[in-house]
Amino acid sequence: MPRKKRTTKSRSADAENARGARPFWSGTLTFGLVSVPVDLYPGQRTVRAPLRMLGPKGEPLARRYFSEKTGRDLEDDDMVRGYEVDKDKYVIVTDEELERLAPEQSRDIDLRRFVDLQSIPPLYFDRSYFLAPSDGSEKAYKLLAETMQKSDLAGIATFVMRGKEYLVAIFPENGILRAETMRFADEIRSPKEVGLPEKKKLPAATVKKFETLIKKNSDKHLSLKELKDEKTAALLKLVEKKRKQHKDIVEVEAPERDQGKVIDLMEVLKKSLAGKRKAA
Amino acid sequence: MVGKAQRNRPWWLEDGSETCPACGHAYAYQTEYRCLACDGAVCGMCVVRTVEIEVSCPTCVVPSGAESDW
Amino acid sequence: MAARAIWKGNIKINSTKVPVKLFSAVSDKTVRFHILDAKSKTRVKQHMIDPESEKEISSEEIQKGFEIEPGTFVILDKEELEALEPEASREIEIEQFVPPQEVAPEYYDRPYYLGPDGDTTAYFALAEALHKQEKEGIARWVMRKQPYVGALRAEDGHLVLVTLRNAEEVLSAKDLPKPAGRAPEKKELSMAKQLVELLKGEFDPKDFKNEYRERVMEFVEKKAKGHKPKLRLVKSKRKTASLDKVLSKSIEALKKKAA
Repeated sequence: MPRKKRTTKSRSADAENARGARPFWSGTLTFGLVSVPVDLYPGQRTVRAPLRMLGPKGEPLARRYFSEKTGRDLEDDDMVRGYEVDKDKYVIVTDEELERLAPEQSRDIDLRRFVDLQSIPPLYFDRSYFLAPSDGSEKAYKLLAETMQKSDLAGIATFVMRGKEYLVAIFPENGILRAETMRFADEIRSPKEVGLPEKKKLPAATVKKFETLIKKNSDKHLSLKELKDEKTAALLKLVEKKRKQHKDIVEVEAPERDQGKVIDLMEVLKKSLAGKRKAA
Repeated sequence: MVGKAQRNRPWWLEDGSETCPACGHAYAYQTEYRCLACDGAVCGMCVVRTVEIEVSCPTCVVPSGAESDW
Repeated sequence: MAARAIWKGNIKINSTKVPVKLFSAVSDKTVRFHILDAKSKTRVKQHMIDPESEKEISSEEIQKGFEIEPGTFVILDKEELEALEPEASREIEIEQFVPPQEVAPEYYDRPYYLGPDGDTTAYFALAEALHKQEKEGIARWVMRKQPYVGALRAEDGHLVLVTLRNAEEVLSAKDLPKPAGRAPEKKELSMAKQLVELLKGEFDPKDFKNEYRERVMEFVEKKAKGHKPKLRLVKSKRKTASLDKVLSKSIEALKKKAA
């Protein structure tokens, strides 16, 4: 069987979706009595150019797990997760137990409150995901997205994913629902907890001075060049230079990857939004 | 190599989007630890547990099973 | 107990400097699990091996390479990688000030409180000026040998610096097709709007409790004592009534509750 050539483009695809077309979470979005079955996918990817670990001859290395105690190599089935209740004493907790601990929160995102998106302090935002309609829920999905788009609102709820409960804000962007996980109130410290001094009386002139500085350096729009990943760009430049000079280049027979096929996150999302992904 | 067992890998063993600065491992974001001293991200394999050091006087420190001289 | 500062630096706007200390604003409450060997219930370790020979490769022998084509790597040595690291600096350089809505939620990453490091007047004056002008500063700095971009904000009179993700990291909905399917009808839209209006309120994170965390801890404690708590099976309940029927029922129910 001829080996498929991977293109540079597909290699830059997110590793987070190396798990394939499977969504991170599947469940039901509800508002009032309306329920919208949805699939949740990552809304961000890591572009930091991944460097591979190679051996002395340039051979790609593989990661292996082993027992600290017995030194024995471990396969996936030989490993579990445990909570450390005492020094070196663990209670094993399975993924299934974690899911059964809160059946409702594991399956439903119940939008019980809608708030002005701009009123959420950015301190709370954690990580971004996209929701795609599933099980023929396109109509209800579009209804919710369009209703929220018009009013610049975000629906607030909690849900459980990967054994953890999240506060989540759901809001539309270009007709698609974004789910932004947030930290809970007790996960954000207060200035007092941090030990910051309290505000004191200020000379009006000093405030004015800073206001003038702000005005002088203000722009209407955020310049996107500020958000460019310069470190990766520098790395890629160095790689390109060495490639042209044929310096430090090793060729090995490309082995099958441990992680399997890398799938383009955008492609998965596009299929999912077009309703071409069969519900599990 | 990419067999059935691989596909059924629990999510906490799968390759993720984050790169551990200590070991280069691509771990899932949801398994990430943060260093208490510098807030830097680290994977679950590399995280080092530190214990709060409590200061006690010799009277209070009695090794378990040992008789105190005091 | 007051938190420990993780970094010190100077906010720099043109030639004006404000000395600050950086503190993590996050207090992680995640229930942490460790990966264990199922048989011995002890911690798992990892090492790198050559998959051909199954031989362990020590960390001193490991090289790093960038794959330019399948099976072809450009090796980058330690010195070359170190040369790519940004120059260490104590300056948090403000590049521009923008209205807060210019930064979309998906860009915000990790929040830090800034505290004054000496000059408290300049610190609080900057916080007040940011609040009055309703602006966010876009800052650049180098910390832990990494370049960072962040948003400098005022929160309740104090300065906060939230790190921002790279533009390349964030997927944009603009690059995605609109979901397939029929557009909602006018009547449905007006009912949905009414429903959402009834559910409108203030954002108060204190209204939402992480009950799940407590349930997990309770379960772990019971198991630690040797109990085997029974857990019920997950059943998904999906309703299949028509949209406008469900909408009007929801509105009725909410209006009754409010009355």
